[in-house]
Amino acid sequence: MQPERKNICADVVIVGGGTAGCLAAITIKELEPMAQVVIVEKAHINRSGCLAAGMNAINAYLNPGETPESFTRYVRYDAMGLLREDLVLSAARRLNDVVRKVEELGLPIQKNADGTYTPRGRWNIKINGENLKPLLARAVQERGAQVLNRVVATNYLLDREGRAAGVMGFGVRDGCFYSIKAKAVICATGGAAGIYHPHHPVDGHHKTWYSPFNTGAGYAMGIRASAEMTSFEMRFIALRTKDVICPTGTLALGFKAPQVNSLARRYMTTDFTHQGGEGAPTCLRLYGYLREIKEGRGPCYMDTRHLTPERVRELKESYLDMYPGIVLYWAANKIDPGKEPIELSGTEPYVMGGHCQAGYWIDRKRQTTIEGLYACGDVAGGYPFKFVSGCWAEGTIAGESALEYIKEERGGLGPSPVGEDLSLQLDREVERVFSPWFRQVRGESGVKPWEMEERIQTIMDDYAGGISSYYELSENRLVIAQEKLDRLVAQVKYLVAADFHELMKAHEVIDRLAVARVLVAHLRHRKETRWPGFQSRIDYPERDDLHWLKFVNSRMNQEGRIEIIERPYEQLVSGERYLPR
Amino acid sequence: MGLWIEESKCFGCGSCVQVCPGDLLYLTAPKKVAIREQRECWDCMACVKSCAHGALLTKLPYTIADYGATIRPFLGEGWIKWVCRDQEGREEEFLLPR
Repeated sequence: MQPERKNICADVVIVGGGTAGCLAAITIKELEPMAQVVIVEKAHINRSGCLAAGMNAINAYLNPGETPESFTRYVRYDAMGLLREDLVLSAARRLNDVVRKVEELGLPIQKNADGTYTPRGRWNIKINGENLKPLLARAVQERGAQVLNRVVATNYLLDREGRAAGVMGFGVRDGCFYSIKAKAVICATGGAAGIYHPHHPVDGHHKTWYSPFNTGAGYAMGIRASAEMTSFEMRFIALRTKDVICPTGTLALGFKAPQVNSLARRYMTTDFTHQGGEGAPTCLRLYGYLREIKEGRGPCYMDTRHLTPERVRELKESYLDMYPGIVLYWAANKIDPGKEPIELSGTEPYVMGGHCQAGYWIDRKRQTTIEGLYACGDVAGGYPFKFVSGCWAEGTIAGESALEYIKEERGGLGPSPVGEDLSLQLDREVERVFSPWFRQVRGESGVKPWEMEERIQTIMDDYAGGISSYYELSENRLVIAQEKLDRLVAQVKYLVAADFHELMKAHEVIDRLAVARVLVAHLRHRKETRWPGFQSRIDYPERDDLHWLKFVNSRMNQEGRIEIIERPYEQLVSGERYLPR
Repeated sequence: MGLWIEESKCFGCGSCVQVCPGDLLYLTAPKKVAIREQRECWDCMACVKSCAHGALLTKLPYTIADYGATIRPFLGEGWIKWVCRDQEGREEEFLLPR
């Protein structure tokens, strides 16, 4: 009954072959073609991660006249004055180069007559990115990185000095146990969806905006290894088109559609003028919508009724590169966006570091608090407003840093990355990983992964600010969430999995539980409202810079308790921090 | 979301099984594709685009959309053509670079 073991050695192992992981791999292989790079990919690299369906714009680009400093000022304003300016600046310096790099790999970018990129907004350019993920995957494979498709990463290997020494996991298709030993590890798994009840609880269970297959594995692996995490409490709740949960940036920036309530009043323009109106910080655009709904002036819409038939056609073309489901939805329901406005909805909350800033606490080189472990993309914290190009930029930094670390600290590239015997860790992980499957094989009854998933989502929705309570938070309810989640930890041993697909689902739910516990600890600790809408504390409704202009970080100790650590904010770019930039 | 599977068009090549990011598809004994759970589909259309025989189509949940409309991608070298059809059979075509 013991699974077959497959052991692989590499210089660098990258966990996740998505947006950030691909650029990390490409960077390393271009700098050092002889480097052994292995990507552990839970799905198949051709269509894995957030870009599976494509993308219609690059939303972090320095159009003419902008600088890394002006970008950082804007992102600071959008993040309500708290972020890691060092991380934003260092990535911003690379944004335009990395976009050009991906254009060279084959990405069609829309251009003006003079050859410059066509802007869609201040930080945005238009692309035809339906094929973006296959392009990146091809570039990774052409450069000789090894891709382990359908291998689910479950934990890090650590050496006796506590340094990252590789990754462990299992094959969804072959049922084998994998250990990939390496001199440096880059985590690029993406963030976590499925922590809260979904917007569509029944037959649209996975009709989420964020990929439902991003289940927080990278966070959970870091939490279990006692890595320091930051800013989980800055949840991301997207304001999207109702039902198909389609991004609204395309409507707002590309087609100049304002938010209106059921009385056709432009509430962002009129009520949030001093904070930027229609262009107010992302969390306030959700907050404004929620206020209209709560006070009885909903539903709310993006008003597209000014669009001519030609512009409606352009809008559909734009969505086909990223979210074709909405074009089908309009056809099915006979909706003409030129004649009726597009109804809005909030999504379920997500934990992610690409729009908001939940993730590993990293230094400027993207090293986590574990030596030899780097993080980039949605799993890396402190740097919001990354989007696709920011994840690419961060992937290049992590790739360069991992290579530099190997050369300076680990004796350079080459064989035998880990000298010591790690078999005890491997044996323990086989037992932990396969136990839901062993349990089923032994004929024991237990808890199915979907049952525990729905239990976690119900707890989070009821007590930790889900969609059913306008995402609002209060101490008394968060305490209950914490108690209920803590109790679930003892239930994990009852999980059963009939096959390796279900075993993957079991680990997704184990990882979501780890993320949910850290999230609730962070939500409890921040006793102010820093990000209205994303993090509205009804018991602490104001922003409180005197006490809370700082990061809430955490680390799980050896006993499994979550310890909170506060870290100071550092302003590097001069200027006002809250007014529109 | 979910998936319409037209079994008569499926030759069991497995390209959709290979690419589905959720590991949701598998081949049955007579070599036909099947989906584990309709509600677990993300509607990314990776499988629909991968099928050379047009055997797969994205299906919107009935809770949000009327029955009868379809959208179908056709892939070429450097381009993608989308054909969207409503219940009455009215079609709209879009040709985009990729």
